[in-house]
Amino acid sequence: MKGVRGFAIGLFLVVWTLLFCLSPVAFSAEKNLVKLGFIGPLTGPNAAVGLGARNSADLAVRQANERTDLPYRFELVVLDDASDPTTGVAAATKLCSDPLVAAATTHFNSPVGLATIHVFHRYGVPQMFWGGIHPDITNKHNYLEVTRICPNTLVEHDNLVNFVVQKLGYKDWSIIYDMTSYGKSCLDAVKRSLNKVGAKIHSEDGIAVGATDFRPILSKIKALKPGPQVIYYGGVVTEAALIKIQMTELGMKHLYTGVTGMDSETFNATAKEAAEGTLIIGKAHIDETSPFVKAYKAAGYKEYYEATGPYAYDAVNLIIEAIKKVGPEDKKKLAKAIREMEYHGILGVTKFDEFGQTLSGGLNVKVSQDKKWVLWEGSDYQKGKRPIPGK
Amino acid sequence: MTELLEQIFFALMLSSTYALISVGFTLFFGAINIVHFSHGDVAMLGAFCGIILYGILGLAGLGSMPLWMVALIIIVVSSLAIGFVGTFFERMVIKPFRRSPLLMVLVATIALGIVIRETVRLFYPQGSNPQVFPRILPQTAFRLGSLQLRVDHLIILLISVLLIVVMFLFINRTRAGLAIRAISQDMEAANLMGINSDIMIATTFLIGSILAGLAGVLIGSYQTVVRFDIGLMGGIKGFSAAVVGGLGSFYGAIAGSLVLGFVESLVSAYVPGGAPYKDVFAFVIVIFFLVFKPSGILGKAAPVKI
Repeated sequence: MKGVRGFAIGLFLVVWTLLFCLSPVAFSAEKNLVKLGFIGPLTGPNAAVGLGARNSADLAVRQANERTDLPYRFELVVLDDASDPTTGVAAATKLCSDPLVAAATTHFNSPVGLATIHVFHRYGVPQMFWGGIHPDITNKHNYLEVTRICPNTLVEHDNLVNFVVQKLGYKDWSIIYDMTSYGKSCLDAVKRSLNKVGAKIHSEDGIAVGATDFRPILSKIKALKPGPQVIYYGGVVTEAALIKIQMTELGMKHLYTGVTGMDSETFNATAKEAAEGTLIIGKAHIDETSPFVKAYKAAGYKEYYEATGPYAYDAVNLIIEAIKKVGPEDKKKLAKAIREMEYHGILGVTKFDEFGQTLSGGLNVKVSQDKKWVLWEGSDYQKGKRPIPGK
Repeated sequence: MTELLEQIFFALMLSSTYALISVGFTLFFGAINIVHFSHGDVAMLGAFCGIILYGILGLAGLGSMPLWMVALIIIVVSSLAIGFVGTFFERMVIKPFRRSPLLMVLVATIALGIVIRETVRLFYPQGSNPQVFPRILPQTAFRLGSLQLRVDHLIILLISVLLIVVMFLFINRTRAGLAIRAISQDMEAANLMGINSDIMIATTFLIGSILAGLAGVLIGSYQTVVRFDIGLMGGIKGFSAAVVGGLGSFYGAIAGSLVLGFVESLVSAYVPGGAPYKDVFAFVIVIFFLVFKPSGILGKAAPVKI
């Protein structure tokens, strides 16, 4: 009898313990915990952008947890993609395998995004892009789960070309681009936009990411007669800054332009005085006095929010509003709700088209003045106080 | 014409950055018969040392010092620091394999290179990101006829040439250099003649590593950004240049560097769509030499090759 009783007590204890171990949600005090994923480049050459976006997403989550109208407690799960597709896919898989993750906001680099959309689609987890402008991210497969809150490369380049060709009158361009899918998508988009307005392309040169010496290419462009007025770069910050530095070394006075890949203070910090007069299509401009900036500063984040921070902020808030509407459990319903949202945030109004691409995205023309990006409107260049580069 | 001269100038600059590394490889192979695969990574340490020193000087009151003094301090202190670091590596990693087959040293130095790279990546703040090298050389430009030249480029070129010449004179015209050459020919006979081979090898590493440290600072100044892994590609290219020119020959190291530098630059500029593949072109040339003239442009045929 003693043996049987001992066995019974032991069995009861084992089952009791297993019940606790196997049902964390059922027995935990945080039964309405909802996890939101964030993936971005926290290390690597675009770390400044990734950390700024992470902080902004974190701010949104913190503010959401202070709200009294939400029956959920949110937790931000932060993972690094290191601007590398393989690392990004591993992070996406890890995120999607967690059943508590309702949705995620991801990526600065298009090549990474192009790899992870298939992961999020397979698991059915909604994925909103705060960065990455390759059109194929939304347009090629049109996955229900995928949306993008920042404008894509076709919109950006149309804006750039319209400004530089039609407003400034510069019709002669030389193109340099990097060999990643982002750089190549920029090449295709800028050529498409330039051909639409009848501008002339004098040269096209590809470079490898990680290369540091562009002087031979620039020297060749310098010698073209009649030469271009504009040198366009399709790629991200480090190479963009090096090209501008070397243009200055060679005494080249062409107008240097690009799109949002160059919209980071790292560009100005690397190129320093050489950055002066660079003109880009930049991301949304957020006023220093706005509540977002005040709250960001008050939270004491080490890194600047960079141009993409506001997109990550609005992305998280949009997802939270969708969760408020339909709840986090049914991911397919959530994905649909996100697609149908009309959200008013710090970027203005966000609505998605049939591909999940936002129609606005708050683009601005920016110019580098005194080692900072400032809006074209109100800059010394617009007022005529400083000469615009290019002949 | 101006464009061609400009292209030639930049090809020369690129060649000099390779020469700074390949001369080191030649020194180590010619003097003590080892292939020091982490030489490029030691040079990378020189660049990072320069960045750290600039930061320290900044904290200690940089504004008061003239630029030339800052440049001098950074160059001298970085070179000496890396000189000692390099000698330390020799004692720790290479000396234990002195009586072993050459393959052991090769593998040991490859491993050392990995350790150096990963240490910088993990322990330097934001080590995996590109770091901006400070502007310690004057940025002024001037015209020579139709050519636009920059003072900092000329300084880099000049120092590189000077360094290579000094290295050459040291090995060939001094007693210490003679002792090093004696050791490379026959260590035991040299010992019998009263040469302390241990000290001479350490001296070779000290000099080679000082050269590496200086190379790092100069390359950092020229390329503006440095990463923890520039030593890997730099080392491969420097080694390839030394091999193409003839491993063990100083003139060969320079010849090899010129070949590599010119091929890369001219392919970038003149081969349509060639710029992203310039490394491919350069290494095809290396393979070509290895197949048809393994002793290199100026090297002598060797009976034993790894």
